[in-house]
Amino acid sequence: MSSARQSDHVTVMIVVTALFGAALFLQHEFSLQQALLLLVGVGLGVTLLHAAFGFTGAWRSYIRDRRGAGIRAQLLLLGLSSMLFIPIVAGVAGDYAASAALGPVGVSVLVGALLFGIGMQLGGGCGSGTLFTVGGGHVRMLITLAFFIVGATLGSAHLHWWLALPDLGRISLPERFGWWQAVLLQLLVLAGLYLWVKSSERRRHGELQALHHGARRGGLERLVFGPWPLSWGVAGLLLFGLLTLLLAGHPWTITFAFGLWGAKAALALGLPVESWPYWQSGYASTALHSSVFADTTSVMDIGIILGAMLAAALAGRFAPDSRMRGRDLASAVLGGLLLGYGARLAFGCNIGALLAGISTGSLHGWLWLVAGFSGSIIGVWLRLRWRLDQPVEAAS
Amino acid sequence: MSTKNRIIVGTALGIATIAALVDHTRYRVPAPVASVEQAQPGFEVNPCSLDAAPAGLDANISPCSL
Repeated sequence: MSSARQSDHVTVMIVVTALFGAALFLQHEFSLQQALLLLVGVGLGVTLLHAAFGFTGAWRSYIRDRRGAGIRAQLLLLGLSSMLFIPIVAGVAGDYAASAALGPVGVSVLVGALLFGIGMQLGGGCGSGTLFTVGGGHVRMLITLAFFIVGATLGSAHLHWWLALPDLGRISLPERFGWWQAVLLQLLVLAGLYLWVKSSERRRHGELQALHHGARRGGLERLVFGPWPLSWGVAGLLLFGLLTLLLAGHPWTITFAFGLWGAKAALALGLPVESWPYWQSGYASTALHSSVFADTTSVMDIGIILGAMLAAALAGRFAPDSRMRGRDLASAVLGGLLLGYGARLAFGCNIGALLAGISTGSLHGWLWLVAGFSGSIIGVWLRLRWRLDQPVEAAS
Repeated sequence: MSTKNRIIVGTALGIATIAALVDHTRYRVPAPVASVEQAQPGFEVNPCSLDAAPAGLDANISPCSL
């Protein structure tokens, strides 16, 4: 089988062994739930890598040359997630104890998402994108992740100042309008955006990129070795997102863990992290004073990295050759800092605030979408100005 | 695939794993283990009172004098 011959067997063996060990360790030290969440993270990592389901590239592709397949897939995911998740968090779809990803609708989220949008274009990845490309062995993304962590830690030091700026509080659409009215309202807006993206793509190119395309590989072989069409990516993220909500009791989130890792490192270096208001109460304080493996976000992030590594090794694409110029390094550092700082201010990244927020009916998710996309437009412009990208005419 | 990139990524993830395990040991202090005497009343745990030396050790070597 040609695909199996192309696989990186050594890396596959190492990752599978690490996964078994990690799952057993979590089950022994914490709970079966924690071990299962690691495996859900692995599923997310495999899905993200095999389907190449990224927000950064998809947004850039639309902003630069109106190619909208990635954005249409994201809108589809948001719509389907809303239909599934809002009834669950509203308590009308069974007796599940699941909470919504609510954040304040205010200046902090607006500025944070704008910075995140710029950072994702400069850093070359969003929250999920950074994790799965690190798992895929991209060295440049390791630098982005390192400074993502630094930025999230800095953001946690300053958050109390940003939260003193005006906001409208946490606004839950299901609580404000009723759960099915909220689902209907969101579906109408998402359908409108879908049609807008579709028509602008058709106007520019005369045809649409498909969300599902055939391949030479059969179904099972394609499932294992990839690549997946975007439609499979939507299905995978929906399934594993639902499992996260049911197992963890909260929607999928990523960047809290980055701030936690940075704060723990800073604490070890002697910085007075415990005096920062963000780490003094609630879940953040508990997480800071517990094992990193007790935090579900950290466990799932580790799972995503391992899952993406496994998928990349199966596809024979682990640690691809890359050449890094000085300006690539600088943009990875700056992008990572903006990503981390922005995510902390915005109460999450494209997953924890945009996807989780909108799919559980939080208005701050919509604010994040507008501000994050605006930031990405600035980021795409900066990439051209700093010659990280060629203009569309030269590239085509 | 680049061997250099594999080494860089592997090293970074290895260091991260060690850091996470160190953090785990800082906050997960093992719970005190109940002594065998408490757990099983009447069970003699002091090797000094045993007739024979612990298995595998020379008969003249005993931990009691250590």
